[in-house]
Amino acid sequence: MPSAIATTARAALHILAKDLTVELRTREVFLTMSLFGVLIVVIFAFAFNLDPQSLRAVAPGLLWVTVVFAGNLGVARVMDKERELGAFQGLMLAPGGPAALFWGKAVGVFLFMLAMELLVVPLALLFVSIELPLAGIGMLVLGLTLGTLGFALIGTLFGAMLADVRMREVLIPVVVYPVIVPVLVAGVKLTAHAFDPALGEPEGFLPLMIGFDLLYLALAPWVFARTMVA
Amino acid sequence: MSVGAVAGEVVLAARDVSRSFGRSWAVRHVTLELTSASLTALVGDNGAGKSTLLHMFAGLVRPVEGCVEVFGETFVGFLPSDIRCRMGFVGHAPFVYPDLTGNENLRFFGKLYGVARSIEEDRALLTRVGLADAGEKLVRTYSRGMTQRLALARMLLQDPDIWLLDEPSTGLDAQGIKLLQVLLAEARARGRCVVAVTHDMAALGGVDREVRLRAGRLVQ
Repeated sequence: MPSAIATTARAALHILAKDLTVELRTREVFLTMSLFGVLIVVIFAFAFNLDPQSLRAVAPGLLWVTVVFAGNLGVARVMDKERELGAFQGLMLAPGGPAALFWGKAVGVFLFMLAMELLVVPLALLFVSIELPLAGIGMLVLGLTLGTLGFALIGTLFGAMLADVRMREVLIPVVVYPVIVPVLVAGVKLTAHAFDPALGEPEGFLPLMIGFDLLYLALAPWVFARTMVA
Repeated sequence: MSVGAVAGEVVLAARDVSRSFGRSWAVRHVTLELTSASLTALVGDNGAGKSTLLHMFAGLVRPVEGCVEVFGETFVGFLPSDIRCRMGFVGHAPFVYPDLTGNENLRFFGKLYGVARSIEEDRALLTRVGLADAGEKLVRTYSRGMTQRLALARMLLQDPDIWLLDEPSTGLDAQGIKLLQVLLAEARARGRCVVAVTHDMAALGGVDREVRLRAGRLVQ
């Protein structure tokens, strides 16, 4: 008899594999997020006509606004796919239950967002003419990965909870953004340090981001299981 | 005969269950026992509480009063994994993925339920439900009736002890309804407990018991 954790892990992997198969076939989530992300970047690039110093100051915020706005669309699309023919309930009834559903979806959102960032972030740097020093690449990648993880966890939690609610496209960001503010602030600071290593070490922002990610990792699946079951 | 079930044994029961949505009661003080090797039809007007009761049996809707008993164990709300594995549910929605083919849907749900199946077995199952030529087509291209046949196949691969069906004849043509009747008769003969919400008794092809709900209450 497989343990509950093994059953959940296996079911989560099957859900993730199914989402990847569907995404490779339709590219719907990636294209939606990427097109929106590129659009925001282009609009910002035309809207701001700043000197390099000012640009460096606003670029981290610009980058993160792009990531979370596009990520929000991704979360909504991922959940819509489960709602389309009621498969969401089917997954709830399956052996892995809500825990497998949460982990399968959260990892999927995380991977889809990373794929989008691989396209949108270099374009953003190009459009707003920001130079990324070699020494800052590691910090940028680390900040984006950790920030995306936090967003994916909280986005999946509320995306699923609000999946059947009217005006969910509006409600998801309204509830997600306030919860991820600490991660967002830390992400912006880490990105600023990545763009300008002269700023020195980002001090407490990396532990802040890791701490909140760990908090989300512990709380989000727990809250998800309880609310979905209720 | 299902594992651990004796013909005529109570395997599923509602004990004084009630459920409200806002101020209106969908189900009120319903007590009902369902046995193995039986086919029960839940009938009643729209809004009588049939689907809510079925969802409570599946653990998808939590009763505000009372409890559900499955295989002798008492539950309020969501059911544990080992019990869920022994229940099959075909709801209003077919619970399948439109961007996967029929075969891929069966393979996915087979893996999810830990049912090891060969491609030939999946093909045979699709043939059984009349989708032999549609297995490699995306479900998005299926008609409503074909999707309903796939939903039945999804439940069949799980081979559950309890079948919970919400309007199982939805979208089915005459052949599909015949297939449904054969499946239900076989399930009953194999000791399964089948509960079907329906407005079309004829589509079920004869039932052991008809349970009527009116305004959330059991009337028959």
